[in-house]
Amino acid sequence: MTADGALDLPALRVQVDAARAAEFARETGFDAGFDGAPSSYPALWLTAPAIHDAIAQICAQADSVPVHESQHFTYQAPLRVGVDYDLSVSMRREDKPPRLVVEAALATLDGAPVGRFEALLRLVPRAALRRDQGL
Amino acid sequence: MSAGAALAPPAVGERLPAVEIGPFDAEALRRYAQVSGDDNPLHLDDALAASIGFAAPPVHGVKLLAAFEPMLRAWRGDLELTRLGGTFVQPVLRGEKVTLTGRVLRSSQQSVFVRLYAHSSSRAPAVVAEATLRPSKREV
Repeated sequence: MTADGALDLPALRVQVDAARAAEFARETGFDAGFDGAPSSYPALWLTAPAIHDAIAQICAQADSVPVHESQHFTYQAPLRVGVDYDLSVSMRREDKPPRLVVEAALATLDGAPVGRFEALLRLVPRAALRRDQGL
Repeated sequence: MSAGAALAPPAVGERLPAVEIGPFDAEALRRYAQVSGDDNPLHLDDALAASIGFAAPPVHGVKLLAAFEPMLRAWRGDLELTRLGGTFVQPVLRGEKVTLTGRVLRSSQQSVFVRLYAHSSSRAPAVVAEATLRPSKREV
């Protein structure tokens, strides 16, 4: 992370996996016959080790616990099952209140934009949790 | 129906049929954690949830947000999502039923904007969300 609190991760090659999409659809209330890509499926990519570990490291440095505050998915083109995409992820810190903003851009392999996603994580200081717990 | 036989856009003020989901038990939260990769123990660990004042572990926010999409598809299958987003205002706890509601705030031939809410039975809105839809190009 740079001095101004920003971090760009190397682009990830991602794909909507048909089996995982079907499981995700089942767990989020889609009809049994749905065989597409749920619009919120990219949330699964944000738990990929490269992204998860970067978030964990930032939280550790801030001695904070991340609390998911908001999530947005915006599409310029439909998300397809079984198609390779490039996912570019950047993160930046906000101080008031303390937050980590995770932004991702999805594009086809020839660079055509497909979607943009944003997760807002409130960084709750562990000290505040310990205080709330009377520890 | 093909994309060429477009239905009229919904009226501003139209309310979507409410949908009840849940209650979600520990097994449902474990399955969602597994498929989503969201391994935050807060959603699975009773003791951890209790330590920060929750009577039970909270349901994953994205699990609730994602549930708006099948609701929207059931309401108007001729429209497709171009934007779905939401703020997780209050936790929905394991074992609570959730009611999803929605109302059309803007509507045209090109775009429909819907305000969405997820309420648990006992509290103010848990998720305040919005969706933007457009006429679908897929066969419905």
